[in-house]
Amino acid sequence: MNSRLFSCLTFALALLTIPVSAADLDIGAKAPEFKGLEGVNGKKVSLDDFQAAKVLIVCFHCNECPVSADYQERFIEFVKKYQDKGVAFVAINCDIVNAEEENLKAMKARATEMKYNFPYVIDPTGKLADDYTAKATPHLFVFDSQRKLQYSGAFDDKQKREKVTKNYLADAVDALLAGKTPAVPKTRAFGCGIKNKPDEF
Amino acid sequence: MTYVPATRFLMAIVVVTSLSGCLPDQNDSMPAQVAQSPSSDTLPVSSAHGTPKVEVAASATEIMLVPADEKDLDALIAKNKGKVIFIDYWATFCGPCKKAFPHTVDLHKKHQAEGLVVISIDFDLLEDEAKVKDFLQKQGATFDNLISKYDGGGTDANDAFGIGPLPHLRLYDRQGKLRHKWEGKAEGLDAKVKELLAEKE
Repeated sequence: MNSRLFSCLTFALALLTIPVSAADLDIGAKAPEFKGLEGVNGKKVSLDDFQAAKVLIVCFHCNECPVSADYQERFIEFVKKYQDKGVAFVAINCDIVNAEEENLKAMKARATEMKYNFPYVIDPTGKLADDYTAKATPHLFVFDSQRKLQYSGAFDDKQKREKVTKNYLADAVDALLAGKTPAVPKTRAFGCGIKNKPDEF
Repeated sequence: MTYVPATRFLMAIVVVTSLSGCLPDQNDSMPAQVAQSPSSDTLPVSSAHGTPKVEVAASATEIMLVPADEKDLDALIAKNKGKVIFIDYWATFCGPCKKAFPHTVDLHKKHQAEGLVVISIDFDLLEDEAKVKDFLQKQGATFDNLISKYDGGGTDANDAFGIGPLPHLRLYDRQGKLRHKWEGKAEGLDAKVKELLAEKE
């Protein structure tokens, strides 16, 4: 065995032993900044706009993902229930690769059709998905009044609404509003992978 | 199992890519392809979830779609010990999955005679079974095709199968050991398949 092959094999072995660990946005981490994102109502939206909110939910969302679509009504009902309790909700679209389907015009049409009661904005760079380590649409991030992350993951445990048994988002927000720490701070988001890099797929 | 962090994942891609320089040159002297009829093997379906919806193929080319949970998948992996196993976790709502699927079919065509077993497992809602079968039929997916018993997206499905958002791909060696895993684009997949096929049982 020549030395090159040997070093390659050693390298390969080392590679196989690389642990697959989370580099997700840590619980307790500050909300990554965003500024002047264009929204469906013509207003620009920044993180600072939500300063008054006791709890801020950043939701990665898009038009074309059927899983996200299955959650729209749940988002709307959630906002209805919590908007008067000092909870803010913003949906961000980072699926910029599919610009034909995912653009402000299409988003406006969707928001109007479904009567969205929350800001739905687009990040033209798609970078926020990386900053927040968002993996899917929908993927939700819950920040406390200090804008520290307290929950990240799925809205609930099941795309099929009649089979939902755990309301992760509501439970986390209820805990925060009661001055407690969410019992389940993290779940696996499921849905469609976020397509924010042209060369990725 | 947690997510592969984006940065580490990219790093791994870079490393894997550079590692390919270590591998023996991929020449074109692949064994002649042997036309084979599709596997008539069906999955051992547990009865725990009620009557299994196993459809009987009317002809050799008709695609079968078998509901499966993680135990069924494990059983299928165990049954194919001695072969290299490639698993494509996908859904009809996953654009990149559909884009990459012809490559999965190609891998099967090219390498089944050398001992590559291909399995697809779909994560659509069970009610979308017809749509899933139609796609598989059009793709010519003449291998074991499963559909998750967890009925669409859910933290239960992701936890059970140990996956995040799709696409997700896995490669097992002839010992039945998981050797490679991709979330997103399968960089270096072909080389890894050839490498594992060359390994002795």
